[in-house]
Amino acid sequence: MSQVLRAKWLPLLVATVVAGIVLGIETKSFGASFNVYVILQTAAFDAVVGLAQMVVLAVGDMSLAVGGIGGLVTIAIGNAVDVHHWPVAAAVVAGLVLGTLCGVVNGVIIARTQLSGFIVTLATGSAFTGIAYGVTSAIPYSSVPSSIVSLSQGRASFFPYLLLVAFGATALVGAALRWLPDGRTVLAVGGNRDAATLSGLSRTRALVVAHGSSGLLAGVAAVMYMGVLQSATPATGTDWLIISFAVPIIGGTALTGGEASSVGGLIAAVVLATINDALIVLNVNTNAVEMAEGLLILAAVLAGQVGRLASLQGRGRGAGRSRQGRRSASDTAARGSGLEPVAQ
Amino acid sequence: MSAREPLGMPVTPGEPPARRRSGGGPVPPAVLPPPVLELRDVSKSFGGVAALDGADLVLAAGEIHALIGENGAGKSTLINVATGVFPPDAGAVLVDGEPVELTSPRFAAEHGVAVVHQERNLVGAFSVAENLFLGRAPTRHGLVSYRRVADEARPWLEQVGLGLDPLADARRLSPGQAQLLEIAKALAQRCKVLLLDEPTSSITEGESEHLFAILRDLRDQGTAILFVSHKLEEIYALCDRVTVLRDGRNVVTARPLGEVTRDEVVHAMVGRTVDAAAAHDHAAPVGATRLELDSVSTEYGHHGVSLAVHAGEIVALYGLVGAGRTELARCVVGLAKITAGRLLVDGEPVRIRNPYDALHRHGLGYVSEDRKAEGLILQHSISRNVGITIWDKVRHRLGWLSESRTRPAVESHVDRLRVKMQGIAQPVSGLSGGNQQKVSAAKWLAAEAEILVFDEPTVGIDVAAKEEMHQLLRELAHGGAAILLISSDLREVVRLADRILVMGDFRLLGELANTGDYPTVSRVVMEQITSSVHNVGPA
Repeated sequence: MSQVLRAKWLPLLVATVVAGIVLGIETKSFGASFNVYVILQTAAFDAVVGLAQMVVLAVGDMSLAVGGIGGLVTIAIGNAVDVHHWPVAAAVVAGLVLGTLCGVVNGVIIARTQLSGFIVTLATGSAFTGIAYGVTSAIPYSSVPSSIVSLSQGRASFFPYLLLVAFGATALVGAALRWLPDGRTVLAVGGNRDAATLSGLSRTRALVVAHGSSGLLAGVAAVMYMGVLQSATPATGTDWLIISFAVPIIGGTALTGGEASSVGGLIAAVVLATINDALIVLNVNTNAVEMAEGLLILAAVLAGQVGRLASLQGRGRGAGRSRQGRRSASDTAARGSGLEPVAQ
Repeated sequence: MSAREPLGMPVTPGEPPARRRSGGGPVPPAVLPPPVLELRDVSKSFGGVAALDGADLVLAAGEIHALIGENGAGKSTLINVATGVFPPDAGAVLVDGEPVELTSPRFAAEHGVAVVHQERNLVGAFSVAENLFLGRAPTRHGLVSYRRVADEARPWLEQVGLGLDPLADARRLSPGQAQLLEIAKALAQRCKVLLLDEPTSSITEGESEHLFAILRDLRDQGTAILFVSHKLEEIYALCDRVTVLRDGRNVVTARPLGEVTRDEVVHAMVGRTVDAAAAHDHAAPVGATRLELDSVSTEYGHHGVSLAVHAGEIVALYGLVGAGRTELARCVVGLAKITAGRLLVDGEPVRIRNPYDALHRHGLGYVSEDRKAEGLILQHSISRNVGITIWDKVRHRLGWLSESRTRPAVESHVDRLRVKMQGIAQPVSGLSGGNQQKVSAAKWLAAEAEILVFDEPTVGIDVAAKEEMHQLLRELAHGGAAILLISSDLREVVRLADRILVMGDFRLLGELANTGDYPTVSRVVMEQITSSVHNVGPA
């Protein structure tokens, strides 16, 4: 219970619920069952995209290829069903396997080359997108199987079936990070790379597991997305980047690695979707919606910084000393040379 | 290969554990069991500088073996060789008399050699118990079983006297508790050799006492323990035998401590040789006070540090690694916060918020000890590196910088320091360490900083470059600069400094005028440091 009270996303959730209730009373459309369904459907999708990024953040890396993999999986499934007339289930499984493989490739390249995930996934991500466009000549497959559509659009009153998918994915990822030895390896490598490798853990394995799961989750998100859109378009994934970072960051996952909160991510997804919808209901300019999301991310990151500094100072002198020493030692030579500090 | 078994090793009959020293009495010449870990004639160089030069180490089951030596004597290198962090260039490592090739820390652990490094290696977000079994957490049906993790951790935690909730976050531990957890982690690997690198450097006296009790216990159960420390009191209270390293060689090898006096140990550490070139011009006229610290406390934990540096003077800040000298310098130039006390430049209290302030408002420069990470931008040219401090001065009226304007300003300083280079357009990365250090210093000369903090200016550079650096520091002081010299090289300190401040555990332990007499100065300084456990520090 106390853990819930300390969670970084709690104030945000409370604010959102209060705002939601006020909006529900003040406006007719916001509280309507269909509108709540739309919010939760968006949140379900956002949550899974966020998980795809979160598992990579957990290992202390990042992936810019979540969207690229999503696009490639979308096209693979569309192609298999539309052109080759595969059974839907087989096509979806093949798509998810493909997504996982793409992630594994990322992990292997990063581990082997010692390059940062940023560079590697920037490159592979746009390669995946390029393949998706190449295969389709930029023309979407419009005949998305009805089973996928009915899953993505199905609802019981205000409750979208997709939310069950998001719940399942959140629970599985959370459990894997908590109880699977591979999940613990991911967090240990993310939390203290030296300690983990000195203890005989394999960083390569951690990277492959994290990026592989990220690819799988991106594939799941792709299936959800094509059902909602009723179209398997190669443009899928091109706008996932911001949401993939926003969800885990607002949800309390550390950008530095070693800590992840899948439940926090799910709640962050609901918060983001609610704010997004509320601004539309209130007839706010759509450009302002994006700005609001940006400010929210900034606020979440700042809150995380404040929390970390506070916990640092609360610790013993020696521990704080060595930590801060190491952190400040990473200041650049430029700063040490008396160059004017720039905003960081 | 349990840690609990080595008593079964061929101990000479009729020698019960009672032969252990109690109190300060001499050790009877015992026939020790054969060595568990042995390093023979080990050499290791880094970039042409020999860190170890034919060093030996012999560890027997059931002893606590002290390893001491000055900074840079090769202690850490020896530990790293023994644990497979890197292979020796020459020499052999033997475990139980068998030569082994320890190619990784993991491999060393399998041979029963565990190490507790000075740097704590804990995953903060994980529980105490999980850190204990990092990478080997007990599972049930393939899932980590936290109940088993906690249950199996408990005896190890109890063994080191950590009465903690095994599921508490590791980041909440005090430094002392973290230290004990590291030891428990080593024990949980069932090690028979335990190497401890300065385990008491960041823990309290009470915690140290507790640690010693545990180490004695382990020894009596047959573990071979290597204890690296600078504190002679601790060593005499705890250890059985001692090995002293100096300049990568053994000066004392595995002698029972009962046979060696404190004086002998200190002498062995610092050497007896009088430095022929120790003659520093101590008649240098000292000018006005330029930099002054008045009862300064800092965010790093410095407390009540007061010092003054005058124009034309070199003041050395000597101490062991981890004493807090670099951290103090970082606070002076505004990289970290001063939490109490005053910082004065030319008698005026000032607040320096960052190195930009320090340089451009107060003419204060800091030449970092880590030239590669903090002193230089390696891929940039010499010209750009030196020019970095004077862009404001050499830029064109309309704001742009050009090589033709930077060049003259840079060249004179680079020439003065006799940097060996192909030209000032050469990237700094291609220069030798000594020349890199000169470039790092040159940028502060170009900026005309008059108060200079040199942090380990001669670490890792060759003898000739070192001599030139020393010459430069003297010239600067003669020219009226106020210099604070942070150095772990006592010979360098004796050679250059007018006054010597000794720092330990983030406090000033004392101050002495430099008489230039190396044996006397080194003795006084080492006394201050080694007795710092009981020293309350200056008022």
